[in-house]
Amino acid sequence: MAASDVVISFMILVSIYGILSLGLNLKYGHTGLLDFGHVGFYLIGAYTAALFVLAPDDPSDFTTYVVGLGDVPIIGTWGVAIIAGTVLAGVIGGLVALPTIRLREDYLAITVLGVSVIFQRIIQSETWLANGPDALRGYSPPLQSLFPLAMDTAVGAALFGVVVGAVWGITTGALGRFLDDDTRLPLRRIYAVATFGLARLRGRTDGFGSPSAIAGLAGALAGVVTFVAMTAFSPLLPLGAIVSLYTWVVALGAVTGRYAGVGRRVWAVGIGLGTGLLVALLPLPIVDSVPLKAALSLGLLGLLVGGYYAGVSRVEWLSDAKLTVVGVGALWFLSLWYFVLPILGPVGEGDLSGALNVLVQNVVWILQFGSEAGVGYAVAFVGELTASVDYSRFQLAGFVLFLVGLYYALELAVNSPFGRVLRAVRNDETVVQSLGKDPFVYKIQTMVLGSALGGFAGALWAMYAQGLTFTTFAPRVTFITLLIVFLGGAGNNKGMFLGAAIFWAFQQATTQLASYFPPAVRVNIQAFRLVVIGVLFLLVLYYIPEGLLGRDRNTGSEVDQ
Amino acid sequence: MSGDPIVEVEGLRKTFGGIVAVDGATFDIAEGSITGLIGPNGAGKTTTFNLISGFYEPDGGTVRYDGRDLQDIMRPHREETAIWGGASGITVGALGGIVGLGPLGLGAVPALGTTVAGVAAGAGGYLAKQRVTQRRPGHTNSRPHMLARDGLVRTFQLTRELGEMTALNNLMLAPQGQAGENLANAWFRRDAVADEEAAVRERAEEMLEMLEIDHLRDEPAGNLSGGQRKLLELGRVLMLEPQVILLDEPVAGVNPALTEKLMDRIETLRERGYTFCIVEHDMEVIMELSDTIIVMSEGKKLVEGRPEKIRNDEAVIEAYLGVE
Repeated sequence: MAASDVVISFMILVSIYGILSLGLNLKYGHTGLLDFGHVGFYLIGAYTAALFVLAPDDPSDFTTYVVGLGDVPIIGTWGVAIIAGTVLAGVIGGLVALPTIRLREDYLAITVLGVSVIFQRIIQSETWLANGPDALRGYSPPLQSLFPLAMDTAVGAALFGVVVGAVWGITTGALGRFLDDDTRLPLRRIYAVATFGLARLRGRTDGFGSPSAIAGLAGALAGVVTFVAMTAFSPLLPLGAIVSLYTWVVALGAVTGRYAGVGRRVWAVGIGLGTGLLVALLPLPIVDSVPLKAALSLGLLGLLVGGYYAGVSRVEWLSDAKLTVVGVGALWFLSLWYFVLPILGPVGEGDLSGALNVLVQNVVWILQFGSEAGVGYAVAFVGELTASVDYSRFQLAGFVLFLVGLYYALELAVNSPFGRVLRAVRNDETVVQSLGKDPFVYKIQTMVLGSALGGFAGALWAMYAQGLTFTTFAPRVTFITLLIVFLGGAGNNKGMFLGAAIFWAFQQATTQLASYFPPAVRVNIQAFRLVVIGVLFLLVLYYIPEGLLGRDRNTGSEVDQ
Repeated sequence: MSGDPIVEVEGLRKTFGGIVAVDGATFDIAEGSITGLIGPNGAGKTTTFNLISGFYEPDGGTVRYDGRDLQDIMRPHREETAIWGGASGITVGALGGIVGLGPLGLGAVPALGTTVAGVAAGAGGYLAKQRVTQRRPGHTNSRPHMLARDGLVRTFQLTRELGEMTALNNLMLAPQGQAGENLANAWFRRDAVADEEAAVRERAEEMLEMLEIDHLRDEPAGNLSGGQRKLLELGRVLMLEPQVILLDEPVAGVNPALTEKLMDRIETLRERGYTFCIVEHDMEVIMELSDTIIVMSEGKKLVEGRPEKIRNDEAVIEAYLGVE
């Protein structure tokens, strides 16, 4: 599997957990309601969505469930299923909140935790409801049968247009946002081209002038252009390359802009950290003896962490930049892992065109290479490439669109007078009361909205996992979500992306590392991960209680900016 | 100079365990006046404030504001009862349906019956309970926000600033009925909300200027000094454009020059028709400001009268100095 495929499945999980965390962040970060039962709403969303798309229960097989609406036209589609899961989770969130919300913070947390366990138990023991303790499966995600896309049909071209449009729109939106405090000329040129000239609208003060509106229009245009181009000449690889390169350029621009003010020393230490991590992990694939490679790797990791700790506690300029250094190191490590490691093998064998081939596959991430179906290309110096668009890329485009859309809606909400009341409730309810506003009403609204987001994430999970078991919805999920909230910064919606990304990067990295060990050890490593996550939670709470991005300092409203 | 009573306190009583904090206090606050409330520590002044502003539920006696009993103003209104009744109905109904389908093993139609029965039981049960409790004599409610909405507001003795929010945002929070406080407006009527926000911001900035803390505009309120917090809190209640303002030690910790300004400000506001009731330990301030002074001792009203009269009252001197 190419590195890009690993990243795609990682991003899908980040989107689901990002939405889940946005919900909890609204409750805890913005309004101060400590909801230890957030997973309960995730569960409701997941099971509701699944029951909407499942075909009616067939009494002769071994699964039983109460209703299956999959055969009903319109109602049994994923769109309706997601909405139903979201709404039901929101309604139940409100119902749970009504009697419990008057409780003090810690009592509320315990009560809602209990409620979420009750939900889990109901699924487990009420066999008639959703197949009890056994997995609920037998449904498939929307449009999956069309993939990998047949590029010679209009449907194929249209769906590829959707993928390109989503990626283009989101990338353009990101570019438009950080362009505000970044004046580098090439980026402005790229923005002008990428928005098809719509960048001129920025001067306008009405709704059309905002970066988001421009990005949406540009994305839609890009989708249409893709569709037309695909039906006319079918340039799959060139189009994929353009879109992918665009995202890389924007990512590079964002990273360099973010770390523009960082000194050379800090860069050097960061790169040293990233390389050190890579070196520390090298014994795993190279050394054969299990105890030896574990000892070597752990020893080197220990040295690295010890060195970092000594550095930030002794050296002044380093302690000022302790998080920046880690950020630079992580990015450096990731780029080595993504671009350099995959081509080491072919290069070692002297197969330069093979190395280039792998590199192209990873750079043009929007296309999948090497599957049976697909458009074949023979490129000079690179060799044979078989390009296609697979389902997970389509799913990713959809999920990320949902994530960004919900993020945008939440930002609007928390930056409005509504959000100001929520912050006031978190600070001191009595004041809110003394100013003639009923905190109760706002807390209920928060619970409904936050739980609905949990339900939305659950519905997406049902779609992604294609099968549900009650064990997935243990209270553990709530605490992982809480870790994401704390990691990113409670009260900072953007932090949820970062927190979810770090959590899933950790999960995927340990899965990958565990594969270098024999199966018996592998199981132990996977179990041990939870311990590490617990320790990570403590470290975050102790050293960076504000989270990596801190609380969103923008405490004003839209007009502020 | 003082008009009809706007707040009428009659036989007000509040106990905490064995301690009788307020013991049958009876007095009026005249509309458009400044009434001072003084008394030794533990005389029940702050408790009285908490009772008048609806934060405590009284054990006895009545408070009337603008001719209406506070308890009537704070009674749950119809929408609230409907929401609670509906929620109880949905919850019990859903449980009824689950029990019918699951443990009882009924078919779809009988299960619908248990659901409907559950809805009826839940909603009916709540409404019946509500009817019984609200009609019980002496039943009290605590919904201070409803009083604030009707123009009866208070400040706190220990300032309650919203520490993580800037001074400006503390003030911008206050005005009543902002459209943007409704989530639907915040999403779908953003232009209207932005216009209103601009107006509220302008008012808040004027208020900061008037209180002479405009240099602290973007400072988190938690970083302000004690006196500055007092000012911020006064500004916050003024942003509400209330009718009656209960000030709990408004000048404690404020420097003399600013105290002077604050008193002027309160005077001006009184002339504009606001009514004030002030608890204050600074005798000079209270004597100069007040039209009427009420002296409380041990939860009761001791004396009431014009400042000159209070200054020379035997009983007051005795209560304060504890002679014999």
